[in-house]
Amino acid sequence: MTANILGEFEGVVKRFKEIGALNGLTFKIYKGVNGLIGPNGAGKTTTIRLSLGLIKPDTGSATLLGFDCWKQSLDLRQRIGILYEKPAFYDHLSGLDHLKLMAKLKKLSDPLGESKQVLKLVDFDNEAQYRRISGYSAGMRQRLGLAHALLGQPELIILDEPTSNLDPLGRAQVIELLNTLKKRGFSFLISSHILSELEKVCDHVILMNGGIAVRQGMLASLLSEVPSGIFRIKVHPNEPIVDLLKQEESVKSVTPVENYLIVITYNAHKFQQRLPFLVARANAFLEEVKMEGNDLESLFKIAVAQGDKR
Amino acid sequence: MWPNNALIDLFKAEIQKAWSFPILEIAVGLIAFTTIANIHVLLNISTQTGLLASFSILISDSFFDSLYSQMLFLSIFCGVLVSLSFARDYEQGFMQTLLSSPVSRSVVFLVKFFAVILPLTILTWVMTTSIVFLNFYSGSSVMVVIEKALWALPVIFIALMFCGGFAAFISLSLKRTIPSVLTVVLAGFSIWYISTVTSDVVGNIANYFILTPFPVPLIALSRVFGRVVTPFISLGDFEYVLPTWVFWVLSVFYALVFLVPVYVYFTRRFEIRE
Repeated sequence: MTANILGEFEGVVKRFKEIGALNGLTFKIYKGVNGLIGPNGAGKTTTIRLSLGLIKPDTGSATLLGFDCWKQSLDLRQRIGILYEKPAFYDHLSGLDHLKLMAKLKKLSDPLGESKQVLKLVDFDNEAQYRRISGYSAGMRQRLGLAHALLGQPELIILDEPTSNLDPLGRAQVIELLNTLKKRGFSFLISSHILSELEKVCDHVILMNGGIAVRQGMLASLLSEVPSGIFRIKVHPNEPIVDLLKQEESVKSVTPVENYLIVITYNAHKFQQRLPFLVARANAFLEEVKMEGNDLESLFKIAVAQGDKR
Repeated sequence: MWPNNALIDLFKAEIQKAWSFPILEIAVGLIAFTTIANIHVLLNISTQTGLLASFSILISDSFFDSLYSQMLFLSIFCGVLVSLSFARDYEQGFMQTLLSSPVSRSVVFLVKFFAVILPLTILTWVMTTSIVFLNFYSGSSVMVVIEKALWALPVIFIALMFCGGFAAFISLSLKRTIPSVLTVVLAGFSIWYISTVTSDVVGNIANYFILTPFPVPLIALSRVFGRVVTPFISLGDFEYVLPTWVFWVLSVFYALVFLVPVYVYFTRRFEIRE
């Protein structure tokens, strides 16, 4: 394991009864900010739980910071921080008291000092820290959860949907904070649906679908692979036109994703010229045509589309 | 090894969570009510019959009778609190948070379990002792009350370990708050119904297998101290045939019969899946 690699999943399989949650997941976590993205049911939450020793893999190996995620999870949990999508606390305690308790469990030398320091870092060093957590708003709980994750300057911080409970201003602040922490040398594994935000902070990306990593690598490198000439079209009904599109010379692939079609073309100009004819031939109604950009969202859609085709 | 400050703080936080308003208030009210109701009847009988000389015997019997009268309530209450502590925390995501923090699974399990069992044991013991003591102090030996009070402590503890272990087993199997609570309440009520309402034969069998966590340690203590305490529910011939050590072994067995398997499951195989 090189010095730059913080963790490695190798052929991890986890089944819940008949359902395969992870089907041979293989990826690496590097120093810096790692984004874990994928559609609902891709296995992101299972991956995070497995990382923390909350789930035992059926086969394969999962290591973080050199520790086996299941067998040495206690040693591992001393060294990492975690923020869940819906953070839970001792609601009868104040935010500061809860953090002090967690700092003591982490065996930090100055629980009060360290707690105040992380509260300041997440801009929560106001009178609210002395109030009972049961009275906190969702956004305040998210900030407290983030402070909890930062306690003790962990070597890796896992964030599961860190901005999901925040308003747009709060989201922007968290992204800014993550960038600041990244510059200070913190490493993250972030699972999020909000790809535009992830794109602002991620160095590495792991794209998951169907319990496996369908793409992984440096964000810049992956984005450069996104071919031009990808279209998202919404047509009603879409079944007849799928067959017609597949017969077109200018079209490389057509994949239905939710209620629209992802069309990857060889020749974007020719496709744009042909599309109205094809719609008319299919006796369909064209609602929307959008050319995808060179961004994480496009990368995500392509990866999902390719994953569906497998 | 004596637990460090962090574990004591964790235990305190868990106690405060488990006994937050209105749990403690309900427990105090119900324990006081059942004890007072029980003692009041005995007091009336002894006063009307003028059997003041028999006061000491009445105290001996009334103390454990008083606890018996609370067993239905205590077993259900204990079960509900343990279910809330495990199943509700699982549902609300707090179990996930605790198991992700740098404490071992053993600590998490023991802290959550004893945060319910220890305060309930102490609360039941203090309330019952105080009320019996206040009622009979003027007419009998204080030492008799104290002696019985000391005996009652391990008896209550073992009985609640049994009930709590069962509730933990149900909660971690079902992982849902309402089904766990309903199952525990139903089981507690069934035990009470079978052992008190149905026929002698069925009732006696039920007593042997279900209510023995209460009389077994009581008999064990009676043998050691050379006192004769007649359990409200007789164990029949077993009570006279079996040697003392068997009652100690049985006491430990009842305390741990559910607790040990659930502990092993929680520390080695339990997973957060939802």
